[in-house]
Amino acid sequence: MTDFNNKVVFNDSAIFTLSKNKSPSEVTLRSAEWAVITQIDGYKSVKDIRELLSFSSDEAISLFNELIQKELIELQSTDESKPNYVPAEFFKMLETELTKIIGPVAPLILEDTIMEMDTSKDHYLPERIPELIEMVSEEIVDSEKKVKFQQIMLNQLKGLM
Amino acid sequence: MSQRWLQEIVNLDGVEGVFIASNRAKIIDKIGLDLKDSQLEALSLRILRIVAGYHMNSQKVNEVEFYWQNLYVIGKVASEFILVTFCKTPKVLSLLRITLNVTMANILEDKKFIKVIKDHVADRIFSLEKGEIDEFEKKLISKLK
Repeated sequence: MTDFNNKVVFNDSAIFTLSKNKSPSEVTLRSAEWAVITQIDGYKSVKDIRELLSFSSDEAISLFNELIQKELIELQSTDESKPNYVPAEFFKMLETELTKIIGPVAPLILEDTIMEMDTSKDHYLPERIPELIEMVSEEIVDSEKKVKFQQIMLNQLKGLM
Repeated sequence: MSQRWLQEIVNLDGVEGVFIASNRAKIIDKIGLDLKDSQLEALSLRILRIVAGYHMNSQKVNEVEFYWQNLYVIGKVASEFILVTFCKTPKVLSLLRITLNVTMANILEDKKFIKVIKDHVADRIFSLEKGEIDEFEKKLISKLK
């Protein structure tokens, strides 16, 4: 998004990626700018990075603008196009319910399954939740408990999808 | 009676229809299907034959999945009936399988439904063993591991 002066306009929820055309090693950077560069991963928003590095909103905007001017970062998306990921609370609830049935091994199984699905809790898309539930259900030997677990999860899914 | 359970399945994206058939392949209830009962009965009989085939080979089958007329078909098998679902795409399969498991459990707890279905109960293995499995099917069964 650019304004009439060819300046990138962004807000707190904008997400940046590192520029493919220029490397940070080609320019001189202040330590604060380096700190921002190390946090840019194509997932974290300006707000996420600002809070991680304890910058004020004005400081963060100024730093991001400097990095844009130096052509080191590119705007990837604004809030409107940010993917809707599954909230962390859902995984906590899933872990709790699974622990009730299969015991303390539940968090490990959950982590392993998510890794096997080639994704992470931070960037988990809601449409893949049924797949996760089905996969972790396979760990429940008792068929009655398995259906009960799926029933609880199905009710939770209705609010999420 | 079982309509509300079937409705939950049909409400899922991509699901075209669902029906319940007895062990004699008689259609008990259906929703969202533009197919004649005779077609559904023939399909039910085929599913029952597959299940019976496995059973004769001492293998328990709870679910059968296959393509039929460009539709993906999932047949869930309970001791008293079968629940057959048609969907356009297997994309929603995980959600569909979970919903089917839960729906089956709910149906089995529905006393009114179980009372009705018991009037239709037949021993599918017994009836198929009594000569209803043809030579071609016997060959298929003999290949089962």
